[in-house]
Amino acid sequence: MNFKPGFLFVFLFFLFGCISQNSSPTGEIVYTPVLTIYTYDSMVSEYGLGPKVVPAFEEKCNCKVKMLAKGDAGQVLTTLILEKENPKADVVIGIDNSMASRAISADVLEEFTPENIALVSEELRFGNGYLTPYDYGYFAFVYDSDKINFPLNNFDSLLDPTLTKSIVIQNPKTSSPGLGLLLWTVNVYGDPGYKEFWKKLKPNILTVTDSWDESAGLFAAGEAPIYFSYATSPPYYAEAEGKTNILGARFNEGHYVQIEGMGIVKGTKNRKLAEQFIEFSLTEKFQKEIPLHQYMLPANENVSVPKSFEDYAIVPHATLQLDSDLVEQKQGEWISEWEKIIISG
Amino acid sequence: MDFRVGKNNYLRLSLIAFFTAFFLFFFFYPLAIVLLKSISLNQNSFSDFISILVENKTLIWNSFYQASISTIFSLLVGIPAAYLIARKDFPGKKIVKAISLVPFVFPSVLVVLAFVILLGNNGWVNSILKNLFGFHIQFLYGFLGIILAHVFFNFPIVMRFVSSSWENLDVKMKESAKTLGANNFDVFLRITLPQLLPSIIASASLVFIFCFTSFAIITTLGGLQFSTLEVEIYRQILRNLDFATGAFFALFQFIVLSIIASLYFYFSKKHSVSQKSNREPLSKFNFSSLRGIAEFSFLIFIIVIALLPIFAIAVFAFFDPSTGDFTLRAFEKIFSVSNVTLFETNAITAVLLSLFLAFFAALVSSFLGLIASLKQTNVPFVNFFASCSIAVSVITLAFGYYLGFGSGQLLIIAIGHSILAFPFAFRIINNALLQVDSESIDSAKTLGADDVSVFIKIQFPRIKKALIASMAFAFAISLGELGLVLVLYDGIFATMPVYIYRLISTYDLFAAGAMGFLLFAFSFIAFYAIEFFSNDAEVF
Repeated sequence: MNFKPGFLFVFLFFLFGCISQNSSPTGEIVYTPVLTIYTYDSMVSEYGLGPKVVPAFEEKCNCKVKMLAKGDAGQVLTTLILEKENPKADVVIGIDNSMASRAISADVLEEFTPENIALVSEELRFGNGYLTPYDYGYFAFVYDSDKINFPLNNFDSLLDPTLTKSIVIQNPKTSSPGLGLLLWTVNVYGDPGYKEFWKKLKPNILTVTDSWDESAGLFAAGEAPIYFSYATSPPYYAEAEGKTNILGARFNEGHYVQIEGMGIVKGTKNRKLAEQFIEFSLTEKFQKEIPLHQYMLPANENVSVPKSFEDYAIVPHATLQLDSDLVEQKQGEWISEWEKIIISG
Repeated sequence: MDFRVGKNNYLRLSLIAFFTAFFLFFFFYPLAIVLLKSISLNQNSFSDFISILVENKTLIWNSFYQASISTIFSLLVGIPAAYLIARKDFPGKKIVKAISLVPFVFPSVLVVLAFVILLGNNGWVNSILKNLFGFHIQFLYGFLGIILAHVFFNFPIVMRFVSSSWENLDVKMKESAKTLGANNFDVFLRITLPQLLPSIIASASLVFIFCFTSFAIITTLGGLQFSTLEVEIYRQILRNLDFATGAFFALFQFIVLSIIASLYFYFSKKHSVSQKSNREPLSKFNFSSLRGIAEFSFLIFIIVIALLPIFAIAVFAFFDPSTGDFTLRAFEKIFSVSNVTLFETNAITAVLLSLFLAFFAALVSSFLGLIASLKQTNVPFVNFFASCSIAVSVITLAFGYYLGFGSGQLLIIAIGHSILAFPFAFRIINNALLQVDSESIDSAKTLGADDVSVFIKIQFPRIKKALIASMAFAFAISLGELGLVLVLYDGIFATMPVYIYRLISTYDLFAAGAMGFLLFAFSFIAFYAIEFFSNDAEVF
């Protein structure tokens, strides 16, 4: 071979050319509006809600929906904040009641209250007109009843010495259930009482994952018999995997509620389409898919849940929720105190 | 040096300009941004910086502690392995020697995957323990798993350095000591060990740096409870958006690594022993002695731990977990197109993307390595560029790109991989060029050949193999690289390692096994090419 350095240059330019071509617009002749939605991973997964509802909406709106997963809910908000100057998304799905005040004060949302909010009960409305609830659920510890043979009916029962290194939880800094658990303990034990509880719980924690998916994966692989999840997770194991030994622990203290909402991203160029999508999210077509794709409870009161929910989902004695302004104000401090306890050594 | 003004000088100057601009723009500029960002930290006095360090003392302690323990155990496994390579003669020795390439060409995500399969609470080892003895050992989710994975990954480096030094020990000194009545232990302690020491310290400092900046192993096997500086830089950037703190950590880490790296450079120069000494003849295993059996068992142990991970991944890729039958279901699952419309990346695009990046890095880094190595171009500060990069962690560089160029840009990721592979490409090509007979170059020049024709007629034919080896090496490095892509891929450009990393995170081990097996297959081709095309790939 007769080697010529010029050849490499030509090749490099060819490569550069390929790349820049990929990123340039494809030059479609017919313009179809594109609604870009940011959401968390599980929403777009094969069995998630996204693949069910997106085609239905696309049919109605005569538009194209680009639903992009940005990791877990925490990362979704992070991305919005990062892109604040130059927003790429129109709608965000997955800002929950614990994160709401952070999202609102970060000024990444536009105000919008859909007409269909009338279908949602008063207790579920949150987010001061910036967010529209689409589903809700209660946090709960979920366990394998073949491996745990005593009742888990309050926080104290998690401290049992036989449960050493048995519980998988999530990082409150990065995961919405993780934050939910921390807030739940603050709600039950008060401040500073929650710190004592976490110190006692620490030996029983196997690991803390950054996202809920990772915890669920560890649990599914049999690495741990207990993980932090939802009161509506057991119906998933019964419906999707035919497992009836996976149960939720019903706590006497009551259960912390998570309400998930969606909102319009500040600076969107598709405001009308975004509004249309949020209205659509509260209709029966969207809401009826929630139980078996999100394993959460539909926000629309008129939509019923399948039988597996009646059989396996736990119904809490009481619904717990901290005041959202208090959460906004103290959350940073609670998380860093929690980190000090969990990460030490 | 040829100072004549002519058309070659334009070529020479443009090559130098290209090289220098490339490094200024894609290496020093991003690092400068990180440095500036760390100064922009709200604190402004020196004591405030100290107080941040004190606040994060657990993190810093963890980094040093795990890296030290990992290094010590890598030495404990690596030095005996070096002894076997240097002193014993056995069939298949070349293959065992090739294990030393593992830390460079075997992607770290695959180590993680294999460890989860083998050592998880429900893994193979614990299933055996549970069935036989009714208890299990918790290897993962903490310190133990990290150390085990690091030792697996890094003992080959020690083996490599120490064995090459051991092979070249002068046998005369040892024999005179023995005639003077010294016993074997004395000889080892007073004669052999001091001569090996430079190679031991050089390899130990390199292992320390690798463990200090290890990423996938810490995040996956360590969990939140055991975090290190490198991982925390990543979390600060991508999770907390606290760029200032992340940059400060990066700066602190850079200072630490620079100190260790200078140790490495000092001792690795000392360690290059001349080849002319009187070598001790190699011996075979003596199976009638306890020592011979012990040596042989250790050899088997090394081979088994080197092969077990890939065996585990293959089993997970090809066999049904419940029935144990051969199946391709895991492959079908990841390559099915059912969710292509929503995800911007699926398994096919991940494979293509990885291959694109690897080819790009192979070409660009070898091209840069060639420019840097050619005497004709005489690029200034080349060694400085090459050695700087060892003290810069992957996440730090990625952070610089993130701040300087933004995320979600494929070209930046590709250039980053080329920069990461450059030091290796440079060394391989440089070593080959140094071996080209300088007399024939000189005589060709006296006969009127210019630099270009010297290169085309004399140098290039002799370094062809090294160029291929260099490209294969860069290919393998890019293929297995995780941290840089993870910081910059923006959810779009998921490469094979990122894909596997996410599957491992959610414990979808069968899908991860399938993708892992593919990644391994590509890495192995590169690995084989390196072995085939370089007589003795001098890459350190």
